[in-house]
Amino acid sequence: MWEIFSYSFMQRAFIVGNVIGIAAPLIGVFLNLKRLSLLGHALSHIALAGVAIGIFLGMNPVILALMVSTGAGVTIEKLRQTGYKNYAELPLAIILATGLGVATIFISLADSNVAIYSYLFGSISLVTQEDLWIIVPLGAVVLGGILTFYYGFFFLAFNEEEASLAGVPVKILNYLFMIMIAIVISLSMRIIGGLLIASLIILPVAASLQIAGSFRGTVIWSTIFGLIAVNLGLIISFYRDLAPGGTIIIVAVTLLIFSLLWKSFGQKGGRKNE
Amino acid sequence: MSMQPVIEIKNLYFSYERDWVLRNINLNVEKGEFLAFIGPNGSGKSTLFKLILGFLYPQKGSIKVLGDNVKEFSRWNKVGYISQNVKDFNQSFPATVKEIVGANLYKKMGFLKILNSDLEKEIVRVLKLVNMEKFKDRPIGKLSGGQQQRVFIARSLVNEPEVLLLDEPLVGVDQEAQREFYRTINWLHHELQITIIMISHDINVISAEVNRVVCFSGGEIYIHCAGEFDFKDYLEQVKHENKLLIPRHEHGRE
Repeated sequence: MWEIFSYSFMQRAFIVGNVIGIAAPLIGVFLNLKRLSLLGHALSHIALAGVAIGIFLGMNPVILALMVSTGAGVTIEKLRQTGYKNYAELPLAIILATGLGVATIFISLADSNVAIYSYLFGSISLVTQEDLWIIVPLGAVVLGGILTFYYGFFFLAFNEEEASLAGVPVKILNYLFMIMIAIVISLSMRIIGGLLIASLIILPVAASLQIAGSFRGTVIWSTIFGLIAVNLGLIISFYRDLAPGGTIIIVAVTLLIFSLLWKSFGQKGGRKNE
Repeated sequence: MSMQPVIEIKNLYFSYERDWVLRNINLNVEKGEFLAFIGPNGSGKSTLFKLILGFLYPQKGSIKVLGDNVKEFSRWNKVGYISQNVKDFNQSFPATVKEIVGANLYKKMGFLKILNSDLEKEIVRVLKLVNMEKFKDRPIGKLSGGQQQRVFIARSLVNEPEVLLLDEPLVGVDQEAQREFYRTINWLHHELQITIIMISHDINVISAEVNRVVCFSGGEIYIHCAGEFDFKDYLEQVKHENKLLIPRHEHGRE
């Protein structure tokens, strides 16, 4: 049973997986409540462009993904605050298209598509010791950022205008938030894969919204679901030799179905008249 | 009346694109006043709120809030604002009453922006003022429109505001909840001496509550002391002409 933990590549996969399993749903709570769930897709596509550029130039793909997606996140926020203030989703579509276009060009320029394939769908064996030195500290930065500005992000998700009156530094926190999403997505490319990470940002939150009665509860349940999905997904993918990203996402979908059933049966039991 | 108006608007002009939405607006709101902004949709009432709150800036003229130019003003926690939340906020937003009220204490939170026990006591105190303390752990979306509005009043009170701006707060709220709302607002006005400006279409009800009425029409405002304003005449005009014409108003009387 414990042989899975005796392999050093699996140890690295679990460390990175748990960092992502906490960070992705945590950031996803604020993202989904801001009704920007497409943002995860947009940034993961641009991060994929970063990976393709990195592979083409022979540089660390995670670092390139980090740089490109952070730049894209800041650009989206700039567009949201200026030219497309009333079209919140338009900047996301622009960045998504740009990312896919750039990624396609660099993938076609590369000699082999094997490496990029693993970044699309994730791979357990891909996490290196060098990655740990990048992913763990940056994951800690994201967690620290969320904890430090928890109520600020909460108020931003509820109502930006009212948040600004309460003294929340709206512009700064919006930029910080974009940077943190870009970090989480870039860090997740190794295990979850660029095509699937947006799902890990959305699914645990969707499940927790069915059962939580408070914002704090939503945050806690999202994190629990994220951790269960990642750990169970990694174990199943190891023993069944399945793609880790896909397995993690299917576990997350299963948790969502259970939460929907739980809510459905709970309501049949009678909802209090409030 | 104090020497320093709570809000001072001078020669203000504002347009979103070409035409002036507001023209040559002059208005002083004194401490302790209760003002009603009335007028048809699109007459600039909510735009003037947004200008006072610094969400928009005027093309010409100036606005001072609590003595400071709105562009430099920083004590926004002293300005309570209740938007048409009941109508437009996400009813399935997963937050409790306590979390909604607590968010307004952002500036009083420490380095880690979380609620400590002192701040939690403060939340309970303001919820008691609006008789909502027993609902503090309920999800906001599970409350009635009137209860939600009282929670938003509590949220604005948590920073002990000097002025409250209410933008059509009773849209979608039933009659009994409206009466409860006016009782609360009157108490805030008389007991806590909070200056109140309220946008409302409910002219009959509001006529009994306010000190002055500011009518918006054609980008201009017409100011009346409550006792002088003929609400019946006003309603007749709106009813018959389907627009606001106020021929007998003295413009900009201050």
